[in-house]
Amino acid sequence: MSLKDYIFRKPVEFAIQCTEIEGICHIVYPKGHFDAATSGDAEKTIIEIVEKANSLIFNLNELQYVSSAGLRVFLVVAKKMKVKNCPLHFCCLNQTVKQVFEISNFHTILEIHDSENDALDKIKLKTQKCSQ
Amino acid sequence: MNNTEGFNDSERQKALRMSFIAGLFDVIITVAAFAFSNSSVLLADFLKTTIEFIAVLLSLLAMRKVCKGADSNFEYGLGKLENLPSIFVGTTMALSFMIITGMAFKNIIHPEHITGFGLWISIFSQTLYFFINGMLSLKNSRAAKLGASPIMAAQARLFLTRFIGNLFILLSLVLSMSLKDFHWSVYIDPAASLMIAFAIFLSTIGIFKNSFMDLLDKTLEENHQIIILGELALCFNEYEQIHGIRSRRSGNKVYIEIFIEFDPEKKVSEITQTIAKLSSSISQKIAGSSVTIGVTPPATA
Repeated sequence: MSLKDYIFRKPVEFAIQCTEIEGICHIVYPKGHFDAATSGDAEKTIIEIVEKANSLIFNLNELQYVSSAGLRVFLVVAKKMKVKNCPLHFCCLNQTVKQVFEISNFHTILEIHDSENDALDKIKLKTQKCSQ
Repeated sequence: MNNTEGFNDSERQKALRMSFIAGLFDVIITVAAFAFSNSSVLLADFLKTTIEFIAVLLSLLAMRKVCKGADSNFEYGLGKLENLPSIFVGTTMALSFMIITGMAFKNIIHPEHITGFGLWISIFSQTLYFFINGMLSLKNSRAAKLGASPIMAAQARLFLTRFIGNLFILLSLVLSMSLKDFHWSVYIDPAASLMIAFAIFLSTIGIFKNSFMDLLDKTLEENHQIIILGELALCFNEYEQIHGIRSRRSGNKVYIEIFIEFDPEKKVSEITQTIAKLSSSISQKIAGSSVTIGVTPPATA
């Protein structure tokens, strides 16, 4: 990054989108920087989704960076989903986010997939097993 | 649990005492050099050295108070007392920056050749202190890294600044004296002074940033937060929910508070075992940390 780019750079915004695949799961798309400045509002939004979701996928394709504040929200979500006995999956992590997950041992407690389809297949498989 | 590895308090006091003695000699020499010359750079050097000496004296007094220990009125210890001399060091460095910059611009507007016996005193002392300050900067930097102490970090920066200052003043004096036949040599002193001022300015920003953030109870740095979350992830199946993490620094001590909820069906012995394991693993990974784990009751419907 040049000095000019650094000085005139725009602050990276953070946004959350959510889509529901009827009867299967909710997919959350966080976008931008998930850090101390954005985690407060994001946590409220995510918890609202968690409360109505039977299974959840976090597609982190557009998540550029996650700080410890963002990780804490993921930890809270993982705990809530575990208490509800509902599946939680993460997919499409970029290299930076993947490194943060590995350093913080999160890769040992969360199910991480390369693509959204892989995560969906896993959830569908579990749903089929439960219905049988 | 506290991590006691690295420099202990008596070693830190010893390093500060050495700085105090070196600073006292430096003040005496710079007074002599300034008194027997017409150099405004040497006047700036004298002012800067005197202010820095007072800062070292204050740091030593604060460190003695911290080592003596706090009474029941200060149950978290006197760690924050270390930040106050650091802020004073930063303030004195900011004053030095303004004095040196002012002198440099005065010399640029009204240039004159520097003369007097004081120049030779300064050349001798700058050479001597070039080596002494370099050595003290390395020693304090090592103490700061091992003990995570803001005082030692401020001292290390201070001596590095002085080391660079010695080099530039020495070069400035030698070049000004040896090249006095060239009319442009009158600008060597102010040019060197401005470079010293810039180095001091950068160090001042670093000192203010660290000391103020600690006084305002800023949370721990990101690498430490990641360690805490990593340990919570390793114990993921042993607790029910995480309700909050709080952290702050007080001098070289780090206070971490974690609030977690356990399954009400769990035995007290299992809960205490998890708490002890979590607390011990975090304390071992974060130097000087004191970990408190609070048990939050489950929310009632």
